[in-house]
Amino acid sequence: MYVTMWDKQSRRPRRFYLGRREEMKRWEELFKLAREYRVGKDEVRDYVDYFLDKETNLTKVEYVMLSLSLGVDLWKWSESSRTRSGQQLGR
Amino acid sequence: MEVERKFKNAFRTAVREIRRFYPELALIGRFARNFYANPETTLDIDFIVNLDDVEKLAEFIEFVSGRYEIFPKDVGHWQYRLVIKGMRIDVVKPPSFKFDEEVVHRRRTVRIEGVGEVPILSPEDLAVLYVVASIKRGIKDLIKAKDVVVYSLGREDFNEKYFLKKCEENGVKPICLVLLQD
Repeated sequence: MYVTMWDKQSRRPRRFYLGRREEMKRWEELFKLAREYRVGKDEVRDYVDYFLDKETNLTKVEYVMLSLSLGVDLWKWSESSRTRSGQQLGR
Repeated sequence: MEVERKFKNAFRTAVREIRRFYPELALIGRFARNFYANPETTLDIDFIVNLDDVEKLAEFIEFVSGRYEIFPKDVGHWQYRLVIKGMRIDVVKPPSFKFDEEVVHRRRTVRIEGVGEVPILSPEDLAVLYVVASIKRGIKDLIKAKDVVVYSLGREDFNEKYFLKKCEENGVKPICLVLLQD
């Protein structure tokens, strides 16, 4: 299965090999998402204004660490509530 | 605060122990993504290293299993999970991604207080890695790839030429070309 599309690097249309024909549905899904998923300009502006460390030009470390500790806490909480509900069902 | 200190201790230990065997290590996954885009919650820390050398991998597993938990405990896999002080750390070498010298050379460094300097995959290579992963794992990884691309362009920190070159080398250029469209 091949796709022909504009290659902005070589500035001409190019034919690319994708894979086997049976995988067409998966490729369609990926191309659709790549085309349609948008991050709004306002979201990017808010990120730059609020989360960006202007010195490093990366997200402020405290927010990256917070996203980790929140994720772990949420996971622990969901694990313990799953265990509790399992125990209640077992009664 | 106590929790964060515990995380940082585990994180620092992980970097030190992995680096003993794999100096080419780099942060990947959602934790790495969060340095380049709007942060999202994450459960673990992922590192990419070159796991191809079986002897080195066997030594690494032996060393780590004497001190921490590691799964699986045998060679031949592309993903290993370490549990250090309760924190989950994944060490991976995704089979379809070309982790070459150029990728290692273009790593960035992030400085995390209480952890130290940690190498991180460049935004371009992280986006390519997500695109490669999406071919097998689906659209969630492609969303992350586009986030890295769009927010990095917003930070004026994204080399499209290099990104497309690596996309070509990894056989995913058509998807990458669409990702770059407005």
